[in-house]
Amino acid sequence: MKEVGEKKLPKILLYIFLTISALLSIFPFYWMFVIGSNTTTAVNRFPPAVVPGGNFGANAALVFERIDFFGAILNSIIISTAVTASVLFFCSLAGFAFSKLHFKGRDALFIFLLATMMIPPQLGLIPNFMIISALGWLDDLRAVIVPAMVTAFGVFWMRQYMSTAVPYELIEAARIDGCSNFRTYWNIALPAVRPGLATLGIFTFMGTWNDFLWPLIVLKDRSVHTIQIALRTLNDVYFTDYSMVLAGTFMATIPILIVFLIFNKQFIAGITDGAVKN
Amino acid sequence: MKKFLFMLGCLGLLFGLIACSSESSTDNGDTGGSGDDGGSGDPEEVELTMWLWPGMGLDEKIAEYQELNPHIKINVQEAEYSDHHTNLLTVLGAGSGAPDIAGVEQGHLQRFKEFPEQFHNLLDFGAADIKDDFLEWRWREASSPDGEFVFGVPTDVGPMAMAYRIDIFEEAGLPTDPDEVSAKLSTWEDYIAAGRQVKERTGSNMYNFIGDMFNATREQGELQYFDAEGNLIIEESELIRRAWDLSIESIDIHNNTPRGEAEWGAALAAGDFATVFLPPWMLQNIKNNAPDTAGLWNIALMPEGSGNWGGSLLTLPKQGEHPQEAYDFISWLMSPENQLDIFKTYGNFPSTPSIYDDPAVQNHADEFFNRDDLGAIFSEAAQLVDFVYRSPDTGTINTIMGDALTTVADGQATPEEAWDNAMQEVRRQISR
Amino acid sequence: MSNVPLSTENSLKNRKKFRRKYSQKASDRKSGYLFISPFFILFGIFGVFPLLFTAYISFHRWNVLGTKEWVGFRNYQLLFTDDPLFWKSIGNTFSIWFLSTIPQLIAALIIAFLLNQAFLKGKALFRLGIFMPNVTSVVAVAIVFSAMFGTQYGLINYVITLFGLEPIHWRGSYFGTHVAISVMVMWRWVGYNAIIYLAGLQSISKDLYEAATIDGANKMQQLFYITIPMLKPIIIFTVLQSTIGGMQIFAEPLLFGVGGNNQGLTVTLYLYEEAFSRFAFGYAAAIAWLLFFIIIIFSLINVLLARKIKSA
Repeated sequence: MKEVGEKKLPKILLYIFLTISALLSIFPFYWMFVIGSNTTTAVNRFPPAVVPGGNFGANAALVFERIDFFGAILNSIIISTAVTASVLFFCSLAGFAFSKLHFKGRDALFIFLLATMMIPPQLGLIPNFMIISALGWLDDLRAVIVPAMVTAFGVFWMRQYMSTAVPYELIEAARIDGCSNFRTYWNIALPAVRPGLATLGIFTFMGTWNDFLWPLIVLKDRSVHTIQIALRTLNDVYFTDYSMVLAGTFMATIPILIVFLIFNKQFIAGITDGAVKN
Repeated sequence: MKKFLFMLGCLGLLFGLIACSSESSTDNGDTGGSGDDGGSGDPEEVELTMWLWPGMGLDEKIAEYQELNPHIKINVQEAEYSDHHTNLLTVLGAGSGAPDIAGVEQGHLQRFKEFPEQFHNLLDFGAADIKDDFLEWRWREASSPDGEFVFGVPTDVGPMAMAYRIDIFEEAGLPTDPDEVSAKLSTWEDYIAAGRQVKERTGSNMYNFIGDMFNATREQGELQYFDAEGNLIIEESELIRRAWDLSIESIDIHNNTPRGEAEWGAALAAGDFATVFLPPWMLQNIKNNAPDTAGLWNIALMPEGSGNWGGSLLTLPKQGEHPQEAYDFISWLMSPENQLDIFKTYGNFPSTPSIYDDPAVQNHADEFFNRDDLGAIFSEAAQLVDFVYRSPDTGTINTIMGDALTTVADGQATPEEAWDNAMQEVRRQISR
Repeated sequence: MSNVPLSTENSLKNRKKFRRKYSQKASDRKSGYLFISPFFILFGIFGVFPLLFTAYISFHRWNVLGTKEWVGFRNYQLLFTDDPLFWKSIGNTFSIWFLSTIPQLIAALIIAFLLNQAFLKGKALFRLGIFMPNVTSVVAVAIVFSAMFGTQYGLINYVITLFGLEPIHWRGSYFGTHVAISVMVMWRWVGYNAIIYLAGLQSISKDLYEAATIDGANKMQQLFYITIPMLKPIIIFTVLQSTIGGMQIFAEPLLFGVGGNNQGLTVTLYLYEEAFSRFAFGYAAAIAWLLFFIIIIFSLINVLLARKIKSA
């Protein structure tokens, strides 16, 4: 297994390449903290500040004064958790059906599902608003949660993932043991697709957390603001205090990082669980 | 099999969420966001929903009104400036969900003004009585062309003046006293000549971007792209021709840094251009972007008058059910006395000229700009503003003209090509 | 229980097997429809109406707040015959898609392949690193990139002029604008696709690589003969998704600015401006439908190309 050791140089190059990629990826995030811990005037200088300053506490205090930060975070947690849990379940279930079960019209329905991903979303705002208004869901978290409970993207992803990660033999074996379809899905397929679920989970959580186009149209009242809507109201029309905005943005990112770290273990869990296939 | 039931349960939950809420839709579905749930006790209690964007500076006054009128509750809902206007468009288009009171900013006003059926006419609630409190041009902007329909009560205004760098002017051998500057730069031709002098002797440009020159000069006349009947006159309009020619003429003294770009702040701080055309609210931007230039600025009138940039109306969407209460509130809120208080706290420049003589306005001091009478100069500017006739398509054409000048500035088109392209695009947009 | 060999009951067993097969079919059908129903129910509630609504208003002149006026195919006709901006926006969209998507997917695949090497230390850290662009708020991204792509005070031009070259006017040329927007797109989505590929790589059995190593295959050969073919469904997924995402690109050109020549104007941005700045909803709806068809056709082409990848 020492086959790679024969070439030391490429290994170092590999680390350098990955380190540079990681640094490039992290820089704007780092800079967000730099601005958030300085004052806006320091940032507008040229060349701008590149090391963190000592103003983060003051900027954060301003954020807390202007918006209900923790209330908005709580709303975001409720919405993102509900959507993520629901998406994981319903999408993996549908993905399982599309990849492992045979039923009439399956392929046509799947193509239809793919086509729905291609609809440009911008014009949906007004008709969707009419629906939500008719349901009486204005200023109600359900307006954001329910439409997102199953996504075509998630179904598509789980179907593709199941078709590489869950071989037919596994399904057949379960059936011979007398498993129902749901049991096969729950006990056999789900454990084999944990990296796929982790990926879908983190992307769904993050996407929901960061979304604002739709929430800001249906969640107007301060009490139901998500963190993204609340952060946007930090922008004054004539002048924006970037230091304050980015201090708030930085704090609002921390929950996503925590969620990523929770899911992070699952990304590699599949390797050790690969034994399922044997 | 248990799992199967679990799955059914989940599906049931999905349906349940959808079903149970359609029942509740009856109680607050069509109250348009003012959902007071019946108001169990006092029948006269009224809740008004008010949509604003952050930074309008009305919070204290809104609280004060509720103290004075305990039966009125005002529920302020803020959204970011552009989100706010998208939201307003959406709820009006969808036919439900609009607030009792909505702010509309000047830049968005013309599109909304096209549809009086979406708003209450303030004249029905007594707006004729407060008309004379406001700047005449501002009130006309808030009204239909014939004056029979008033869309909203004006909030602040943005009369334009010109900030200039004393040090650069001095180095260039130009006067530095504001009255002398106003006298010396009384026409745009004078301004351009002075700009060449600045460029020659100091290397700095005179101003940031030719598109801003076009905007400033374009606002100095009543008829721009359309006549009062709404006919397109852009190609015959002398105002527009002059604005265009002045912009092209002064291309050697602009810095090619539009104000929306991040570099504007850095260029400003570095003294890359010597003058800024600005309404009062932009003073703060200069202070924040270029704090090191404190004390290097002064303010004079713009050549050939003024112009307006910014300010808003408080409107009453037709969906609102308490227009009289809402009108009573907004007309109180924007009364001269209250505008004076708001000016003292936030610096929003009042739209009611009767308070311009107040010492608080006249003697508004700011060391950054070397002035102890900032209010005086903007008051003078506010009274120099011409009424400008705008159509719903004015904004569209402004964008086309701005784009055309950008292509000239970037060397992507000659002035003649850019003008021809712009006219072609204008005709196409208007004919649709 | 069924593996007790009883030769006398062979025929019974066969019949059972047949019955199982038959009932399996019925139960597959039942659970198949049931399992996929949540999506179709939600689509029925929240998807169909907007779609029909958009189709309906695309045949009208409708300024959102006023009355609708039936104009038949006029909006479509204008788009095809008299709207240079629309065609320009389509050209821009494809150009930016091409510049950003192809390098992005290749880079993502390489990064994922490297991150998946058994000997690599600090995997979790690198993974977090490449994931960061997705977490970073667009506000921060906009500020950072405008600081980089400034003409007079931009970081990149500063470096370029150090080498004695002419600074690039990023916002003032087709080349500059398309490159800048593509760089922003790549920056945001390479890590995302790498994470997706990485998840896909977890499903490939390590035995395959071990066997290949024993057979003397080097890393390159392993990439081309094992990784890529095994990842085919995942690759198809990313190709389709980045095709759809690229055709609907919106945030980056909006943040960067489209320039005086509208060289950064993409189709969705044009659509959005028609609807929400110019209030021309009927016209915007027609653009939306045309874009929908363009995406379908272009997706089909790309998926067919991706399917050419040799199967494992």
